[in-house]
Amino acid sequence: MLPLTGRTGRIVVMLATAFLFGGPLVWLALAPTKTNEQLSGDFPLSFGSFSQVGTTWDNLMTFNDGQILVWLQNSVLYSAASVALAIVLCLPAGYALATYRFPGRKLLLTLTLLTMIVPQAALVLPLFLEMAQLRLIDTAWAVILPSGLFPFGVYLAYLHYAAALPPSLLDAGRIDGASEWELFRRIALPLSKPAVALIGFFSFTAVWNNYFLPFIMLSDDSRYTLQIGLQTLLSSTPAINPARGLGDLPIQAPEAALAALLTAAPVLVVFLFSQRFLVAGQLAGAEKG
Amino acid sequence: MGQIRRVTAGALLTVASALALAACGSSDSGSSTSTSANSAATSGGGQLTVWADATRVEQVRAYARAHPQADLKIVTIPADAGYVSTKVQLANRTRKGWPDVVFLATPSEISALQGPPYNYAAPLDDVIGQDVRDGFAPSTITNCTFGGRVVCIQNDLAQTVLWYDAPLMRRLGYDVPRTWDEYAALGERVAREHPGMVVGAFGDHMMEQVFYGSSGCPIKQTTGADSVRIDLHADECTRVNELLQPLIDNRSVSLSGLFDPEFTRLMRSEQVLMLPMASWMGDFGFKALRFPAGRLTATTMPTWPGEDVPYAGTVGGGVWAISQHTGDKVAAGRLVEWLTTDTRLQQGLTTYPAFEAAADAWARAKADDDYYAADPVPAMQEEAGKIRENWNYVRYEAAWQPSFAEIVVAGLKKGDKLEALMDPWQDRLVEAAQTAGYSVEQQ
Repeated sequence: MLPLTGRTGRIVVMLATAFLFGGPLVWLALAPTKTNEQLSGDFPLSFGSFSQVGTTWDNLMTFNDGQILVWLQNSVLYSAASVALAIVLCLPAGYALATYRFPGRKLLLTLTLLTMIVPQAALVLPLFLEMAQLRLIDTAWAVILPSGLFPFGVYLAYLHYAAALPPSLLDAGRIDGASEWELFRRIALPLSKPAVALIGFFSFTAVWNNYFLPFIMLSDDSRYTLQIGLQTLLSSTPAINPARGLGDLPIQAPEAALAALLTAAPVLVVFLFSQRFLVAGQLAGAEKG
Repeated sequence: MGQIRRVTAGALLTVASALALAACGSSDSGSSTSTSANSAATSGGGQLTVWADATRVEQVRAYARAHPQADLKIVTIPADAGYVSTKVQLANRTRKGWPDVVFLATPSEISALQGPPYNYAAPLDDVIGQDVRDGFAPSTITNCTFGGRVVCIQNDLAQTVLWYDAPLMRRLGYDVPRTWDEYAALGERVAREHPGMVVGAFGDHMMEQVFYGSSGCPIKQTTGADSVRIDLHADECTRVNELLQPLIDNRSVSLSGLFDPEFTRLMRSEQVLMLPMASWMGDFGFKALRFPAGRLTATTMPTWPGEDVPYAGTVGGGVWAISQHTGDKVAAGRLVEWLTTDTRLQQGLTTYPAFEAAADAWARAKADDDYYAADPVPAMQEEAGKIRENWNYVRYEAAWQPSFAEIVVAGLKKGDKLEALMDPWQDRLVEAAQTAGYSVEQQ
């Protein structure tokens, strides 16, 4: 067996890994540049043409008169509102758990951890019934409100404040006459950027990628998210399975790839913007004694 | 795609199971809906909500254009099996949100939707008259009849025919088989004289419907509202096994799926001599997969031993249904009737209309298609009235469909013999049927 510790070995491992994990992504990015025939006949990682991207886009827009743009708009709206709600709820909750000692604190922390590991499918029916009682089924709120509950965000905020906010700092504020609300607003919040970025990124990806909750809550296709919309598009057209979709829509594999890129791109954009805070936040306190 | 479908099916199953459990504790929705089921046709005006897959949404839009006074809310839904059932259960919980009219791309769903606990589909006898219903292919009305009431109207037929490559058949000096015995003999010759060439496929559940369906093998034969006959050792099943096993062994019947790349390669390289398959395979399958033009045509299905009728199976064919909860059943009925019987609409569709007058117009419109070596439509017209009537819509469709690939195709690929696979397949189907609330006759 050849040792993989030498330079050649390392390069081989890296190239193999890059090919294994990067290859499908490159294929996906290149797919909209090709026709369906080129996609199945040409070299998998070949480039088609820029003009074909335009054609692929036009083809994709033939599905219900460009309805994918409505789904994109819905996804952005639901995600932004859910992230805002999650941040508003998680920061004070995490702050309180990290800085106050009150009866039931440990129980609350344990419950937060437990809630994190409960699969969402288990909560679907009670959430649906709750939203039905509130008469919110098939409205944006039926997705936004449950998504605003983000226990992982509470835990992240708790960790952040426990590590980055010394009790002595708060004590100094109290001595200067600050109220508890002012302590949170003037001392804790300005130090919360890394926590906001972490909670924002993770809650955004959770909401954006969520299929099950919007699937249950929404029936009107004008309110679909991209995730449900993509499934509708794929199941109604021969994009992936030629046995589906007996209509004349020109939605084939390149159009499906473009729709998938459209679905994945916002997560990438959000990640690029929050990357600095994500790294800083995750390493915060790593070298403290 | 298979994985996507499995994940989606799993998600739907999870929700449906949870809702079914929840429904056990609440019986009110069921009773209220059956009251409205018995009511006379209503005409309350107001907006109709119509759910359909992307293909049929275009047809509903055509109705809206032709009837400007119609107030429709058109919703595009996924064509996945189980989607409508899940949404109806959710609507039953909230007691609102049912679509007034729905298209079921998986027509077997109607068997569940018309009864408890869904109680969704309304009888249509009072809004779509007998004279109109008489105009449909008989098998479509049989399949849509539950408890003596018609609860759905079939949009299109997917009767099977025998597709073949006419010039290739002539060049090789072969005759088109009229019986399954002749088909088997030709398969043996092809395997000997032209290894690699195929006379059929058996790699996905569509082919199960072609062979076992046309033979009348009792796999999904309803004998009552809650009883089915499943007997994979019946003569109608055994003769399929005896026909196909030698052809599978000599590889003249492929174990590829019809839309697998391997089968596409065979199509494009003059290696598919014949293919018994649904009528839609011509315009949709062969054309889309670029089977060369000027070669194909179709004839009637071969006859089984002891019979002189070329019975067909059926592979698909969606249905329209109307909600028991609609406020304007008359308008909903008008919509469904127009969608399924309008000649100008139906003749332009890819699929073969279930309504016979529309089918005639469809046939005339297709007759001049020079893609085909000879007009395949007469064979389709003949088979439209010869679909076996013992393959019915059942509530275990979701389990039945994958069972063929998981047990039969997988077993054949491992080298098992068809006859030996009947017992495990029978067990799976019986279990699925019993889980769906059927009593099962196994003889």
